[in-house]
Amino acid sequence: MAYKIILVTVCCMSLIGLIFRLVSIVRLGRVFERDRTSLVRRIFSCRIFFLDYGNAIVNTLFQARLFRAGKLRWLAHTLMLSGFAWLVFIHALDDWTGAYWDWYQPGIAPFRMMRNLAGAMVLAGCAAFLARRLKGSRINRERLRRGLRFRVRGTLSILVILGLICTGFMTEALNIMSEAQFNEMVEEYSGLAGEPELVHLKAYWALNYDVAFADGIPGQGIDLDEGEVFNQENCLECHTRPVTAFVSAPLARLGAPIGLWTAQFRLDRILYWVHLSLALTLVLFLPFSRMFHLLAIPLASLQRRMTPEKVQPDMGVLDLAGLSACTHCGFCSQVCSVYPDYQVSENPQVLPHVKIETLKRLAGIGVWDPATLIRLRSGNDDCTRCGLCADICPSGIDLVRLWTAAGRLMDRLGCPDNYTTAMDASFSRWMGKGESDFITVPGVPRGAAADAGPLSGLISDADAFEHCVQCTLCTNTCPVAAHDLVENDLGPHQVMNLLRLGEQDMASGSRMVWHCLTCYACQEICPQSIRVADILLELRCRGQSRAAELNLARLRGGDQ
Amino acid sequence: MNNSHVQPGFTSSCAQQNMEGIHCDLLVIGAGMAGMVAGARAAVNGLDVVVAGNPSSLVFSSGIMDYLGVYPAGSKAFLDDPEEVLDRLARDFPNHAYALAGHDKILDGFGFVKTMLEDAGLPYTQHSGAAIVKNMVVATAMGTIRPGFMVPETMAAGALENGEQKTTLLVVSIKGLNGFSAAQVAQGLASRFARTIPLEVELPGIPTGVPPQILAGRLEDVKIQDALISQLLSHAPKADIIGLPAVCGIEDSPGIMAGLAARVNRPLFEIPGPSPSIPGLRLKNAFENVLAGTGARLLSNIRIKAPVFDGKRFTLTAEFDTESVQIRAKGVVLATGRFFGKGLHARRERIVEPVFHLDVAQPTGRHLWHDNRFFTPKGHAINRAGIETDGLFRPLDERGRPVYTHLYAAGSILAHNDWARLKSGSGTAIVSACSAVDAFIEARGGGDGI
Repeated sequence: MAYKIILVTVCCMSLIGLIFRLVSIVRLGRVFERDRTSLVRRIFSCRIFFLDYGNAIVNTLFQARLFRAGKLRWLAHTLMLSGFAWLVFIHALDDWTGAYWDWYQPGIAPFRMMRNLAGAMVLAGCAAFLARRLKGSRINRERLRRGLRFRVRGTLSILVILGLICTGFMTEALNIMSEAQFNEMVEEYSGLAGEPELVHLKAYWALNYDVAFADGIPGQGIDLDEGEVFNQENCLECHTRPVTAFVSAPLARLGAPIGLWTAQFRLDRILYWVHLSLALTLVLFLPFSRMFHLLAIPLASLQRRMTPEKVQPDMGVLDLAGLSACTHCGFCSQVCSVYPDYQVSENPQVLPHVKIETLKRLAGIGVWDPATLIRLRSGNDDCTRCGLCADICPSGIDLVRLWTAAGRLMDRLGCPDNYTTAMDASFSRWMGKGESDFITVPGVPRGAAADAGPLSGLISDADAFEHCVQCTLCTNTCPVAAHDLVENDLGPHQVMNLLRLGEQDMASGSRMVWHCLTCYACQEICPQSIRVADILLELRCRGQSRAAELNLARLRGGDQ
Repeated sequence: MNNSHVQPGFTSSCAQQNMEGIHCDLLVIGAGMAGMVAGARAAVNGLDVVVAGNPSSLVFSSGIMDYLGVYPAGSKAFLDDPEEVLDRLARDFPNHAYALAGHDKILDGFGFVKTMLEDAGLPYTQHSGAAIVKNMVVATAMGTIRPGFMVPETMAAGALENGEQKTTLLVVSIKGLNGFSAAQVAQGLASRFARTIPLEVELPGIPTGVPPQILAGRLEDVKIQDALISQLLSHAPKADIIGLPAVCGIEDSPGIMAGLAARVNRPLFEIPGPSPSIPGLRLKNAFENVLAGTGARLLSNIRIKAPVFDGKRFTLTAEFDTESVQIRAKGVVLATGRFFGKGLHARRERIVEPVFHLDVAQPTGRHLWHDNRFFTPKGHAINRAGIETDGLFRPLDERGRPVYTHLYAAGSILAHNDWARLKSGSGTAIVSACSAVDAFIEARGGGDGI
């Protein structure tokens, strides 16, 4: 009874948590949307009839995307998931599901064997995941570097499941050898309690069922055949020999020496309650732990991928569900095409799986650390939207949409992209509003602004550009200038002239600098052998760090 | 060839070559007109040649090749036949390239270049009159005229006879292209034609200030050509001949011009237009194709430094932006140009040649570099400064002997040639380059140890 009350309470609390979580997804989903619309309109804008239900079902049931991404990890995941599902439905919920087999008994062969098998599967999956989490792989390194909190957060759910399965096996082992439980059963289900014939059954069970009796088995006067008859009459319906419990039974035999000692304080009961409370913990924290991906992945898999041909309306709800569906598997970062950027700049916010973590926090609590926001901005702006991450994502998250939405979110949080910031500052300068917009802010940590990477020093070296004769060959040969003659503001030769005028900031703010493809056509053709492309690149780096400084100062100022 | 892994033609990075360096028969320093001709001449004659320099200066060429347009400097009239004054020039400047080479050698050089460019898809035209080779006269974007010894085929139809012509000229300019005004050209040429009609056409997607090279690229597009033709057709019947700015395509200008001419049913010609010059760009591309075709190696955007001669071979350091490589060559042609090309460098007190530190013939003092009048018709003395050579185009030391047996100089770096004023740039470059390479081949064939 107490068990049922607790179970119902926990389930209710979990349900409330789930509702809370879903409501907060709907509420927070708004931060990803361009316009603030009513809930009803947003639901309709999701176009619920056009969502990808097939994908969601296939991906949820069979982890089809994970299979495509990594066969080994799929194997571990499937072992774990199918084992766990069996345990939940046939073992944990046997009060209900047992009704479907009228011969169901937890102690008879097929169920006992299946339970052990499922447990072993989950255990194997857990071990594989844990090993991967703790191993300092290329992608994992970034998380490990960030200390214990992140390490624990990534492994907590796994540890709980691991504990659950281990206590399960141990409880079963203790149950097998428990004399106390034997006695309780005898009292409840047979008329043998207190009868002298019980000794035959005891002996039979001690030999065949691995029960550890405190006073041992009497040497004489034992008729095992009679014990077997008693067993058939009273026990066999619910208890077959435990050999099919291929994990627990050996465990029981192994633990026999300490079995009697632990029986004194009924360790079997203690472990049973530990097992139960771990299971309830999982249920209770389902909405707030990594386990939430069980529910978020189907939700995220509903989304159809955004492509240039098929731009879709805002679906902030699904975007945020996508964030929650992330399991930090790291496949995205392994295929990320700007991974080299991370290697050079060491800005972790380049990596998709790190970006998601930051983004989730940003959507939830807003700007908590301007420097991190600046890094995320820089990392997200370096993303080429190539879509490799979304292609491989086992959770089916439309990451490209998410990166686009992240840009909007950061705009709203007062951190426009570096290009815009540099252009705005430059524009003020053109307008004669002057120096006040471009100030050097003291006390800015180098790490935050220096994500731009190593500068080559050309733009502060007059020798590098003063020989420019403004022949315009560079502009004539520039594919960016040719691509959009109207939008591109300055040609490379005009940028060189700005440098000669000492207007580095204006030069950094020009479109040419930011749109440059670094094809080096200008540098190849320059008759004065000026390193035009290198200079443009350095100007962009300078613009990046200046803009980052400006944004950081603005965000810090806003905090006060 | 012990560096056979090096691809002929274009090599802009030398990481692979760093280890062993580059070995060649002849190194040509400079990739302007003289450098390109020298490289092609050497490669055609079977030499293993490396051309190291920056070919971009060719883009500043109008595309028109001069022999000698004006002599003496400051005379108002253009020369009709350059050969007539060659003796006088030789008397005035015995060390001038033309004096050293002679008329036949000069014609031979022009012929070599003409054939070569024709093979590369850039045909040139010479005066097609009597047996005597003469200068042609062509219009410029300023509305003026200028002489030219050899002009691109696309400009040939516009060559003017001396004296008035009895035809009507339609001058077309393109809206957005700065530096070329149909009205200005029409007005300037008005006295030479029965009638000149200016016409400005507007092409889709061409904004104000379009870079000429980009416009030329767009004109290769059939749609843009259609837009041009549709606007020309209504005016074409009024004219006998139509002049366009020289932006009609980059890769296949003769083909495009022929196609356009057929559609308007009138002779079309290009007028050398605003800078940077598209005919110059075509010339650069054609030369690069020639070098690639002959197996000569072009090291683009490279600076040559620190030559060392060990009695048999030159060893030079070639510097790219971030790395450098050693080049070993049996002979060197110095075709580094003048001040703009960094072949000559004007220090405070004197003019120096920065690669080999050769003697530079120059005015005795800085006060004599320039005339008091900026626009003096006779030109400034500094523009005649340069390297003096012997008859084989080998730079001379203070005693009048070649500095090295196989160091040659070619092109605008040579002394006594105010090429801009005399209109003698291409001819000097061609004849000095050909002569230098021929001399090197001769010496090699003569078996004096190379």
